[in-house]
Amino acid sequence: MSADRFLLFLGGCAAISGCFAVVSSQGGGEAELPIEPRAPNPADVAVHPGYRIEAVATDFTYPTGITFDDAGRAVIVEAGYAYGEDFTKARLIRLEPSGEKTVIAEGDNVPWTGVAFHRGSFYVAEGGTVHGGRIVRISQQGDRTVLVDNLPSFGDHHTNGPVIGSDDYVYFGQGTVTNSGVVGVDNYDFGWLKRHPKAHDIPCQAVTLTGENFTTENPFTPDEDDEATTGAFLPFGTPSRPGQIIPGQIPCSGAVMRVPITGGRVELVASGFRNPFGLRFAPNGRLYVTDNGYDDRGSRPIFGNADWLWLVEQGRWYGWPDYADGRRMERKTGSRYTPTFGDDVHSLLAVPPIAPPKPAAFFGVHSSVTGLDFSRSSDFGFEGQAFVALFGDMAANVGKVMNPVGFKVMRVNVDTGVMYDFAVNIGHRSEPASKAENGGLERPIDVKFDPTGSALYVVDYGTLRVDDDVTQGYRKTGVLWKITRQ
Amino acid sequence: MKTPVTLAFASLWLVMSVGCGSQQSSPPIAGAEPVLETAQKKHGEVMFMRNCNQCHPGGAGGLGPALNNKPAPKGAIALVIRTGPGDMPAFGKEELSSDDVDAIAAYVVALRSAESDAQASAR
Repeated sequence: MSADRFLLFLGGCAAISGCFAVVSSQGGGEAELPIEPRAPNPADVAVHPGYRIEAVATDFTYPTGITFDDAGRAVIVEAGYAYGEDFTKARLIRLEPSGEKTVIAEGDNVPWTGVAFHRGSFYVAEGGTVHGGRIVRISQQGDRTVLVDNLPSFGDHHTNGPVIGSDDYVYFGQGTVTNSGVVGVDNYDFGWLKRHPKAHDIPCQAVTLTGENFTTENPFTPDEDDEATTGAFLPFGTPSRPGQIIPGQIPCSGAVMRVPITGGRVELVASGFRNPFGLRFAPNGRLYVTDNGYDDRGSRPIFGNADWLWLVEQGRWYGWPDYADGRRMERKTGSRYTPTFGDDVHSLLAVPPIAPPKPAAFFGVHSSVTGLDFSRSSDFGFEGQAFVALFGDMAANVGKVMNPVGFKVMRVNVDTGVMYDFAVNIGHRSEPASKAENGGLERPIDVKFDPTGSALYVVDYGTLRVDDDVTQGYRKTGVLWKITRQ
Repeated sequence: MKTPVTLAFASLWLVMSVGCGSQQSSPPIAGAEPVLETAQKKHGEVMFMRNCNQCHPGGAGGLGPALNNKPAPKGAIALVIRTGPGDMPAFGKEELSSDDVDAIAAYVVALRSAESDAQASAR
């Protein structure tokens, strides 16, 4: 073979296999060590022309949500947990006008994922990775009332939200236990399967299974050759049969649910989400929810699906575990969602519900879309548009990316799905401060307009490094940013 | 005179070097919105957001390579959309009409210009 033919052959192979297959992952969490102490610098953040950003408070540990009390003071919730199994106390913290922090309440049913304020009380979503998810009401003195508990939060995703509707219900999201319906070794590696070896996803309505099973190593036994076979909606090591019916129940996995603000029966609003994290009512009264798409990991990895913003319709099913981006993943000609060197994607549900709608907006794959809020004021501008926090990718644990994805705040027209960067770090890529080695945004996780509507507050979770199989959070790196019009 | 094989290799090298470049050439600048002076480009923006944005967020790199630093003409962009090279899915006519594809190609070119303009004004 001549030299030029050999080079042609090499080039052809590379072209056929595609760029994605030949480059290494470049996720935003894959930062070089050591991680430098965080020093927020607004000059490292580009915001939309005519706006300015400032850091108003620092040294939070894993902050996840913000609300404002009836005196207009910012109140922040700290999760008390980071992926990588770093447990600490969850806290509800009021930011005083002096800049001091007052702890209103704390707890150990972590991670606390969000907070809302309504008629003198705080409503907190306790993620519940150890004790099960809860929605609790907390007075301004710190007295605590459980509105609902035992939510299925032992797995990958937790109890999220909440937001209060004009109907005096607390609306909240409940994430799925697994990536795509099957408990696997990835869940053991995360840590939770060791604590809850019987945990699995719970459907909201009865489902009939196709009988797809997945055989993996069995990490519960010392024998390296031992294997386990697991079916959908079943505990690890429990196979399914074709036609097997899994009864539905409420509360369930992958759903938006609601409970009266006085407590009571949990009601299903909509199902078929994966990790419905941020909920907000738009100025027109419609409910929107952010949702994290599937990962390229575990027993049933899914490649290349977006993160989504959904318009929530009562009783609707949104596609998990067999649809992505509003499309059925299984195809006779091969699925676009099949991982690069993985098995084709087959449906788990023999009888899928009515096909889901299309998302209101599609975000970058693995961008980890989280909190959102709508502008309601001409003082800030862009009235009616959504502002959305993108926590940023956790590659390569969730799948490979060619560039960092997320780590910014976006502005979204929810009618068209068109979106633009609103606050993003300056640099050659949209990457977190720890990777860019500057003082910009790290991982925005929630956004909220103040009661005047003229300032957008951005909760920045802080540094979360992801490297091979290790995920490590860095305490005291959370920041509260504020964006105003100049 | 180049041989056909050499030319073919050169073409492949160009495709790979352009397509696999992982770093966008222009920094992300908030508010760098493309000027969409035609209905076609506005339609292309909406279709891009629904079909392309997830892998090329805002035209930058993500799961897939950046588009905002690739000097590809509209025809090449349309060909890529239809054929789906590598791990990219091919978008058939049942998903995107010819008008949709042309509109996306026009939008991507406009997006590239906006990034260049924003970059120039930032200097």
